[in-house]
Amino acid sequence: MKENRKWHIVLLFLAGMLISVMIVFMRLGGGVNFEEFMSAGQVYDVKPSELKKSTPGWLYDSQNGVHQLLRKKSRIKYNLDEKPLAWNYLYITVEQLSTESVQGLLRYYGGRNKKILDQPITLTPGRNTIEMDGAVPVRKIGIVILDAKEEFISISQVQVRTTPSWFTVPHFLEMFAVVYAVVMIVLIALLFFRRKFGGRRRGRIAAVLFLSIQEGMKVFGDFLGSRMGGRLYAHQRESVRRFLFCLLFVWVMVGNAAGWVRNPEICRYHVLVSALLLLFISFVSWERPLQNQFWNGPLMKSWFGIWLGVILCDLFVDRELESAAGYGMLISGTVFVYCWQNMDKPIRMLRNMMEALEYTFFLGIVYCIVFRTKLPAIEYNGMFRSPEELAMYGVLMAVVFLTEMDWLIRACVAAASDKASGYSKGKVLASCIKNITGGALALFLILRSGHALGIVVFILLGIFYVPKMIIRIYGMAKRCRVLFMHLTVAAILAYMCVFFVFISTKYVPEILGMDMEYENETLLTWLGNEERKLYLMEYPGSLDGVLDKDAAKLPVIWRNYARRMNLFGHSGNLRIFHREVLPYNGYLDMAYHHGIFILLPYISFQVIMIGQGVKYAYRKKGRGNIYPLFLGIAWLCFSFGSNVEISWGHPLWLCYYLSVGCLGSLTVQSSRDAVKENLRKEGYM
Amino acid sequence: MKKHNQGLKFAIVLLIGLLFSEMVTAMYLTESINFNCFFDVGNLYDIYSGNYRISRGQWFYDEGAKLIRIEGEEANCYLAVKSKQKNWNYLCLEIQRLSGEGQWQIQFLGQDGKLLYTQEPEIVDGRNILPMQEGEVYAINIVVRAPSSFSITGIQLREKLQNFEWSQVPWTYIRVLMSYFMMVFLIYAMVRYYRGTEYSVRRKWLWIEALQGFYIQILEHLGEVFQAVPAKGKPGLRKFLFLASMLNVYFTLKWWGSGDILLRRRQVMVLAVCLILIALLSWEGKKKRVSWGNPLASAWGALWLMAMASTFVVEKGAGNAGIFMFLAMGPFYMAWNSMKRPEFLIRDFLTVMRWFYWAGSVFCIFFRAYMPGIRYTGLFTNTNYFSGYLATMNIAFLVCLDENLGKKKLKNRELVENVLGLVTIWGFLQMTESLTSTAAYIMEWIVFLWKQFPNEKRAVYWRNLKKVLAVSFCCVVIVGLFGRWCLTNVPKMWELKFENEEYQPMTGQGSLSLVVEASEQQNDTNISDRLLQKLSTGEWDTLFTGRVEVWKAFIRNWNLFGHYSNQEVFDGRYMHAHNIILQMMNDYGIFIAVPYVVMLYYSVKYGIKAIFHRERMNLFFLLATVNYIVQGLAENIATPYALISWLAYYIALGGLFPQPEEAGM
Repeated sequence: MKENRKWHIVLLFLAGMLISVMIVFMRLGGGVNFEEFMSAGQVYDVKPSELKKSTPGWLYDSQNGVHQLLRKKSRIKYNLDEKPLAWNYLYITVEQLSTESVQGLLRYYGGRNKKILDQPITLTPGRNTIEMDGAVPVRKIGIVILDAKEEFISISQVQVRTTPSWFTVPHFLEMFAVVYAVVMIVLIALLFFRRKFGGRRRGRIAAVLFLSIQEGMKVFGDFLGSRMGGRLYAHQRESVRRFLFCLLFVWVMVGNAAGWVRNPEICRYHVLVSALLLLFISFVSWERPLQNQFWNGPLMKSWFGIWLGVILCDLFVDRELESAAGYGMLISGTVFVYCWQNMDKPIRMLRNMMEALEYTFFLGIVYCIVFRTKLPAIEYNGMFRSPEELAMYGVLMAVVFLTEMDWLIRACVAAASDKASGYSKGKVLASCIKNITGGALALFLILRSGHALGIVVFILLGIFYVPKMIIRIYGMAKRCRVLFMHLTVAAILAYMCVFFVFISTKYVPEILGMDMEYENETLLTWLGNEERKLYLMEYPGSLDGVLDKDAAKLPVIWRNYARRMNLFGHSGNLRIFHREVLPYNGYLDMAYHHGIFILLPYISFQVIMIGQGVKYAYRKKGRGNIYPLFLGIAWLCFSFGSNVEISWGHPLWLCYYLSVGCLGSLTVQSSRDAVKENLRKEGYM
Repeated sequence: MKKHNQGLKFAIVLLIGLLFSEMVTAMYLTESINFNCFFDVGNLYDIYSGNYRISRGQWFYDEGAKLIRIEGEEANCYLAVKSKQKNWNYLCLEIQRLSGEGQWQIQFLGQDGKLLYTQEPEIVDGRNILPMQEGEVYAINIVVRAPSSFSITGIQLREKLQNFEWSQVPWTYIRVLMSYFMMVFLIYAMVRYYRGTEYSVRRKWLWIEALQGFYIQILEHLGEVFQAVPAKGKPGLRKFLFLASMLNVYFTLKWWGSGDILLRRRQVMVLAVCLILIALLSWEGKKKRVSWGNPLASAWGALWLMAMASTFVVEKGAGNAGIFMFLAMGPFYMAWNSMKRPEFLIRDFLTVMRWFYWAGSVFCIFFRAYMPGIRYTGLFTNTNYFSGYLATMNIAFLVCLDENLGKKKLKNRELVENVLGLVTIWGFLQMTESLTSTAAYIMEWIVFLWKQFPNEKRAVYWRNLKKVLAVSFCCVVIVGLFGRWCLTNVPKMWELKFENEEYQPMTGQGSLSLVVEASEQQNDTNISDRLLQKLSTGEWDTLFTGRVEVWKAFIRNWNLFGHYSNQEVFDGRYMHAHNIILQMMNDYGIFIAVPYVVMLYYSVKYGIKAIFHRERMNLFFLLATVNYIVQGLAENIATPYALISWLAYYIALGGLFPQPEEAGM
């Protein structure tokens, strides 16, 4: 109850924030528009890398981040949208300028570089708003600075629009503060009235709904479960489950690599197969007649909030990809969670899932060695289509191996304290080798992907993990000599293994002639403009279709997505910089595709995951479990700067959402433990 | 019971065999394995016969002899190619009874009537195939020189030539069917061999029971929320929800053509919510044990399960029908079956139907003018929709009449409302000149009269019957005198015309009512004239108002998982199948016909049983079924969500689900 109350308060504040953002956006857009709060019209942002290019008149000084103006008439051209369009406003943000202001010309170019018009302009430091001639369709614009030879200028943003922009961060914050205060007062007043006059049946509908869903699932779950899991022995169940999990993860990764998850025609079949596999796992895990679980807590409410929200958007937006994912997760995911929570020993499911992840990981490494070359100057994609996906996978595997190591160390420490551990020496060594090698390979993949956020997440997890391990081993060091010896051996082996993979991925696929490239793969290079030119002089054509890894693009992409936020979401992705670009942010992704209010359950789900994760990682009684916490932290971090929402296309996505079952089952287990404890106290046991 | 079950199994195996054989035969003869179109003979375009069976200039069509006569030195017939596809490879001319020495010239015209090229073929009796040149053809001009006479039975533009003879079809079909039966027999024998000859008693209908259990659990828990509604308020609330459903269905049809998929989804959602709310409101707990273990419920389940699978593979215009049925209609049926007095729900539904009818009639009187010479479209944009609606509304009044005849105290207001309703429906129906709906209407009356005969009647029945007859006579006189006058004159002040309204002339103005333009004819005709005219021509095509061509087009496009939309039939227009079974096969693939036919059969069977075994409102089930089937022979009322006939049938179906005598079969 207390937990629910806290959650309601958090939701209230969050809802107030979202409502306020919506109102402020509409105010800035100049009208009530639920299809697009900001009513921004057409907007084009010049690519940040283009802002750093050099021309005969504008020489880019990469050390100081400014352009040196070399001529009396220094000219630079910027490409705009693919088709010539009539724009009304130009916004140029000047970061640095060596004089107070400069005079210049804004030059309009049509198709085939044809000069159409010259318009006099003055640039000063800060944001410059220039009204353009709205009757002239423009393909490119040129900025010509007059009489400023040997001066310097730094432009951080160039944007053309059909409608004026009123958005500036201070202006937004001012309005937001006022609106937020008003909205909160209104919401609290409404809440007060509801409490006063709403009767006592509040929250009853949700409880009844959850109960009905569970009862419905019970009917089919018992029917199918008794015919599947009910006919297997416990060890058979585990083997089948492991196999099915392996199949599921492989299928999900194959679907991603083959591009099925992005193809509206095939996506639904992909989701269907994945959902069926998940249902099979659920029914195979059936042990006894299913019992209702406590779902009235914030975690399950958020779970349903997310998937129902995703599905309900179908009534307002015509989409294909997004809804299939929602239906799949709502149906098969909920059944899976329910069956997991009903298990006698839920940890077995988690263990099987982790084992399956390990098998597929080592299989994936072999696949990379044979089929996927590491190209020079290009970030490694591994078995995925982009480096960030590989980094996310690396982090997931790191979480798995860290959890395994945690369990192993705990078991060894317990054995050292004369408690039964169930681990023999050989088993400890094998486990050490597997986990340390796996962890090292995961780290290697993260580093090879060159994904900064992935590396940061890994370090963060390390920071959380190492002190926990030290505390655990502290004082037991003398009694754990064997363990340390095993760890040392495993570390040496891991080093050799990583070295082998490092070399193999460079040469083996080419030697075997089995190098494989995916269609529309995202290839990224860390080379800057100048370095790229130099590299291409030496290896011409080697970077065709390879994109720049420019972190400065991210804010532009985020702004574009934020600008299009609305009530019920959109279909597909935005075209930015002349191509379809993913949002590189989990929250913007969800808000853009399913409407702004999906963030309510989405954020609360993440917060609860971490909250519950902390609770269970550091609990004193029973076996702590760092898996949910670490997964939650990884997901939260990736949500800020990656395309983490790869529905049914990435093991991290799957593991994260399905770990609700793990947390729920821990709740169930703790309540069972509490009952047992009471009985014991009362002398019945 | 066992015998009966075996008969059903055999019927299902036979139906599957017939469809399977059709599929294999078509693919074998066309030498193409194509599950998306079994009869893969490339695209076809049939030029509508009305375009060349006309008299214009020297080209004279003799209606009596069914011959085209060329009376001068030169005559021509201009035929526009209205299909979206303009690039064709062959022109097929089916000529019969050719006489005279006419010289033929076929001119192929491009855009703006520009002559592309000509051909001068030697035309003979039978099929004449003319290869066409590359390029887009927008029209064909047939020029015949010198007097002659002939009959054209078909003009077709084709992409590919037919690579088989029709005479091959029966034998191939029979061979495939025989092979199918041998295969089935073999499998059956193997199963019997491995399972042993002993008859094992197995629990059947498990799935249906699980489904029932699912509904019971949901209703049991969610229904709690509605326990607060007082018993007296429930009928009112139920009526309101039924009314909302009916209005939703009406507007769904009205806005269907807009192609707005989101609007459709929302309408389906509203309908589903209304039905679920009715279910929750009507749920009376699980004390009453109801079993759905019978072929009707199983066929319903199988039908919509297959529909769901088909929708998953191929998106549908009227999507999510399966989900709708399982998540909205299913709970509704279960809740209805749980009621101690299930007839109350029928009563509420029929009351709302009558309200809807009266409101619609008032609307027609004030806003929808009757134009002499034009078939009346009433509340709809198409006369066939309106006539179908009338035939469905007739059910409400007939069931009410059946109840009224047995009442001890029959109120005058009820009597007048009932009889006036029946009379006005007939009046409206006459103005629509719809044969299909009239057939459904007559069938409803036959069922009603049949139900009146076997019972032993009490004195009160005869007294009420006399009253009814007397009031009927008065109503006929009043409606006959003032009805048509009102509809012609009153709405002139506020006349309202709907968007996309299809005007269709009265008797004799065109063979395919859906495509012809309005006529200025002022004389009034009636249904009998129309029927006589159709029968007098002696042609199937005229009798079925061009539906034969539509059915052919749909059969030609049979496939495994159905199509997104209807088929292109006449002049590039997309039409529905004008038959429920063909429509379902078009929407969900041919094998959907198996559970669908089983469902129709059992709904008739159980509908008849209901008359004998239920006390109140027992006529509703059979009437709704008969109306659905008879109308469905020549109209499309199978497409979900859009017609009140569809809604009435599927609501009636739920009442037939509990069949205790079939349980445990």
